[in-house]
Amino acid sequence: MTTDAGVMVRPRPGLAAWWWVPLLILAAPLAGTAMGETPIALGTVLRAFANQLWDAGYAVDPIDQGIVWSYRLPRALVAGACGAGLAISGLVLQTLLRNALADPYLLGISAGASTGAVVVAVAGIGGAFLPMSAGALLGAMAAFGMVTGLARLAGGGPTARGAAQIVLAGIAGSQLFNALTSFIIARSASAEQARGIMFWLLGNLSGVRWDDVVLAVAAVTTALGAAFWHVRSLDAFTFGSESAASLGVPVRRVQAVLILATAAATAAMVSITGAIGFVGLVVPHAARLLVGSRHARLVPASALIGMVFLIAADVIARMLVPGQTLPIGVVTALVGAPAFAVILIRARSAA
Amino acid sequence: MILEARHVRRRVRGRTLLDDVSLTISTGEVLGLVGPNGSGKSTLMRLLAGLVRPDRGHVILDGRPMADLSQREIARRIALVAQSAETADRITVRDAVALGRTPWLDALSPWSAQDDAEVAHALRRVDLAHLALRDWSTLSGGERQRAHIARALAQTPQILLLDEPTNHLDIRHQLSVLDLVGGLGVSTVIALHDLNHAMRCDRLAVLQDGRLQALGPPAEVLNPAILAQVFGVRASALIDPQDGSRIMRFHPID
Repeated sequence: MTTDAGVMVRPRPGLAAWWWVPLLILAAPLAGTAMGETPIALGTVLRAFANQLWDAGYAVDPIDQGIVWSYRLPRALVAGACGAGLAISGLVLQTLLRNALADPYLLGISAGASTGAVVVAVAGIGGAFLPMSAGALLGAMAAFGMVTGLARLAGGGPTARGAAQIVLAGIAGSQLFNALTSFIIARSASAEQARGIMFWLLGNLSGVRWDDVVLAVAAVTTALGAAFWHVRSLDAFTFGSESAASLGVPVRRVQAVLILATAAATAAMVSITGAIGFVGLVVPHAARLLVGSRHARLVPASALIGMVFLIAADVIARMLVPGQTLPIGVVTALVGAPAFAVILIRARSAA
Repeated sequence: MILEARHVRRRVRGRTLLDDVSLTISTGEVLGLVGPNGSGKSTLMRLLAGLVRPDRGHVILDGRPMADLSQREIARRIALVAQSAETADRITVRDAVALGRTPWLDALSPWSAQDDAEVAHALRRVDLAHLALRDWSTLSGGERQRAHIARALAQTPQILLLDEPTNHLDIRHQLSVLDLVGGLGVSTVIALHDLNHAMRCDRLAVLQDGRLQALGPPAEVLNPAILAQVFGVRASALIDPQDGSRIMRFHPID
């Protein structure tokens, strides 16, 4: 009967075991706010919060107050939301496409979103009716449709060769949409605009405002909610989409809902920060190493790791070169590209 | 629980994969599906599992057309073990089998002690309880097939569909999978290649080019005419002196 005991008992930690999760969600943006080229003491940060939230009236240097509340805090919050959202998007794409290399950036979804955002912002098409994030969503959906369609025509699927086809289709899509973006900028943008947009395209958190925080948090909440609602369906994709269907998962509907939710999240993030690469690719793999393959744990773990990763990347981007802030996409690529290489090699040996 | 195909046809891009096939799976029987490669066995399996729709005819489950049932309602009654369902995920045998509970769970009805019991029971039935916590990638082909069957059993289905479950297994594991299926007491449709294995089924359906050529008890169905027409072989029957059972030896027809 000892083996039976092994079968029956599944370690199921109670809610109490997760006390550190809300703490981490509070602590990470706080740390992101305190750290920077000029560190601000945690006490000052907290006092600045108190002043802002309930007029506590602590004596805080008005410059520090401004930096904490209007500059660093929204920046850290957007970084956190963005990291969580991109990580969830990557995880969902990897699961639905059965492809270890799926990621909104590699599949060209971010590039499509950039094009959509630029079309609205620069060319002014639909500018009176559409916010930039809606343009980004349309671009993201167009890119996803094009890339998966192309991959299907090229024989993409859950096999090793099919996996490569999807990534190749993603490259084609990225190139096309990046070219479109450049074309629109070259045609329609002034030199001043063009410089700003090129900086934004690299993935950039400068100039983030509280409006952006609201959008980013709403987007990540939507994606996270959709993913949480479907954790069992996502698990059912372990042996492929046909197996999921035979387990009672309405495959098409689940795919449509989840891809729409993650594309929306990606589009919202891109419209705020530009295309930040490699977060969606690398973070879910790190999460799998830590908590295994079941989505009930994988979804929250990816979101948390993504949040911490991007807040940390932003701190590094602000501190690496004195007197200058690097685009955050540069930092994530410096970490992500080698990790991508490792995943590529491991995916080959697993196939 | 009765599953029935009525004059089903399926065409994909102008090619007819299945044409005018009618058969009924009755309670408790093991129905074998035999036929050469490309004869439509897998297509029929997928139709019976509700994964694809026939473009003519109906699949009827318990008196209701399958087209009226949701994927989840079907999955609570019918479990499919498809060919070559593999994963690169790091997942324990227990978690793979637990996937079988998916049709009974959703975001609002979480995993319960009963689900634990069903999974443990399924693992015991296929004799894999001792491997429950092993990683999927460490299993042999035979163990994986047993785990897939356990996953299907965890769905507590009334009908089990097995698409060539003995494929790519060594002979010992082929026999153990067949013994397992025979002893389950669940209505089963099983696609098989080896005609001597097929002799163990209660009834056989013979498919050729998407058409049903014969349906009935194995000894009647695998007659010289069908063997020649469908499989292009003739058989000499031998009696196993150990238990008196009849086995066939096949020769090509010149």
